[in-house]
Amino acid sequence: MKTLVLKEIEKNYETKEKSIQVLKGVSYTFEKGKIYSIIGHSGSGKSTLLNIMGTLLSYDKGELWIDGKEIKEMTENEKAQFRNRKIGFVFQSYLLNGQLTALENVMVPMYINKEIETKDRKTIATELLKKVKMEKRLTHYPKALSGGEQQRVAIARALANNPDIILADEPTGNLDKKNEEMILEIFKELKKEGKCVIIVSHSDNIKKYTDVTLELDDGELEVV
Amino acid sequence: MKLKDLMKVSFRSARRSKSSILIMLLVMITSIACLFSLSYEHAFNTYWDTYINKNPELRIRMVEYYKMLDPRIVKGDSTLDPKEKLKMIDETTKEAKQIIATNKHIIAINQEIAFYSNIPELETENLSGDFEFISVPLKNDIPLIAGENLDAYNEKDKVMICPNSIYLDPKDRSQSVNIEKSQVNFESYLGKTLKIKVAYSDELEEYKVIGLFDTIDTYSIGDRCYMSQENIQYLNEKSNNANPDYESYIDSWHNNVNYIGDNFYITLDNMKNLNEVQSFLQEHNMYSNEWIGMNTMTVEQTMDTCSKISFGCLILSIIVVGINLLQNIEKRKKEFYLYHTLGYTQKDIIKIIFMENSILILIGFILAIGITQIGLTIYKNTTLAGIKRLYLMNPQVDIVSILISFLVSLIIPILITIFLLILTRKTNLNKIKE
Repeated sequence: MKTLVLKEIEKNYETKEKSIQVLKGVSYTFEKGKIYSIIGHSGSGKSTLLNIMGTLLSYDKGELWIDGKEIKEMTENEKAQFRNRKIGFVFQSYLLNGQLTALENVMVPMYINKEIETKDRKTIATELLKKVKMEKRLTHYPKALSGGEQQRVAIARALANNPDIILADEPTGNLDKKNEEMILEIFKELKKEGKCVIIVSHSDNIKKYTDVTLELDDGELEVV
Repeated sequence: MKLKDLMKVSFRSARRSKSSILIMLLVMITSIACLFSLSYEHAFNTYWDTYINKNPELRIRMVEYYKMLDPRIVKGDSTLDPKEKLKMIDETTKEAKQIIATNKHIIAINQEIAFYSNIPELETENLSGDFEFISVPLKNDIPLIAGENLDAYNEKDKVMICPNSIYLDPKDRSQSVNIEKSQVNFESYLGKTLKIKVAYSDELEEYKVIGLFDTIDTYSIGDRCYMSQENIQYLNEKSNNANPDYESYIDSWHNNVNYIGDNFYITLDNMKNLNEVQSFLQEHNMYSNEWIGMNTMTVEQTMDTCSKISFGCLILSIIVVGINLLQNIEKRKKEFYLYHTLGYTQKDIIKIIFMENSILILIGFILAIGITQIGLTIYKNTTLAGIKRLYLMNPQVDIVSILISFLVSLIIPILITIFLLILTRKTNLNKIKE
């Protein structure tokens, strides 16, 4: 099932001296129920590609289709709403709101999702934290959580609106091996649920969890 | 985004942040200063309008009509028959009074009556102790600022109001007058009696000093003491009875025109009609002098200081709180970029920031209102109570001060919001990583 389709995506960055082509006609189709990892050297354009797939960055040429809809035709507000419902982000530095509890952090994406009733938010958030084995830490603030625990809360937040796609930028970069395994196990579970998980990572450990490894080199994406 | 959710997100974000508490404290402190100044200024203006500007005492003017008199009287022609002279003065006085009565802006006319005598207690080596007492033409229920309402006293009550200080005649006018030695300060006599010597007699009449003029909250009526008309008339009668030449003055006493003096006191309906009345009087050879004035300098300085403090506090509030809010937001840029990745639109993010700042400002402001009101009450019961008659001023946090201060406080989040509109227009994962 085609979830995210890249067709001849090109992206240039203009500097004073010259124009740098970061992506040179990237094409690939990402499907549900799989874990993909994207590797590449520093500056190869991995973050640029992730930004484009996350509808955070525009592209110069090509097409981006998510769930059968072309992104370029959307307004900024439509993209934001689409992002809220269809894509979940997980970051290397977790990026939890320090002023909110674990439960409150998970509920943040739900506030702008009209499809979720106010009375259901707490229940859904509790279930998601249960899923990532954080049910005993609902009222804890990020400061009181370990790195691994924070990342699990971040994953729960990414799942708040039941998105089809999870984009993870170096999700285990700040974690030890044990916690890394724990996070990757969660991703594995998400894959079984039918989600499309795309991870940008340098970790060797991740290979045993991924279904497809892609390398971005010289602006082109290739299967390894 | 629903308002309820917006408030939840904003409040939850703001509640535990140290910078938020700092912002709230800053808003509170500057709001207190601002509210205090505005409220005090408003109370003072109200006091000024209610008790000062509209006070009938300030609408009193003295009118001289001596120019209407026969020139021989003005020059002091001694060949003029005294009885004839008195008759001419009486007629002119009646005529002047009739003319004044035709002006619609003049609501009261009182003849000035004077009594000239001596207070032995104030007589020194250098000072004569001679005084001039003038009648106070007050026939209304408004209390005198300086002291008790003379009309509240029985005409048998012997009371007088003195200036704060007065220059007495030196005994030897050929000597140069030493100001300090020729000045008497009546503050020490307040509430006490002074014995006034009835002219042409050794008889002493006791009069209680019930008030003083010439302090910052009272009127200045120059270098005289004031009594009710009844008491001055009484003293004049006593004096004339003791006067060996009394018989020659007996015809001067009529039912309504008792005079030793050539002035009237008029009361205007409104101070804005003063020029018109003055022109009217001049046309009829009469002149109006400012008689009851007020030492306004300190009052005006106080109000000016209040205005400057208020304005300064408003500017300070905008600058200090604005800077802190901006710094707070600068630190939280990453958080706002995250909101964007989670699907919050630019509009949603701006709303959160605006609501967050507004909540902080609102809490700080509400606390400021409470603290300011307590402060004003304490100020009123301590400092103001000690200043004569300023206890009539009732400073409290009023609606206008609250509205002005609050509207200004709202400018800060609005400005910050507009600034952020430009600042966080574009976001991506690189900005989050930074």
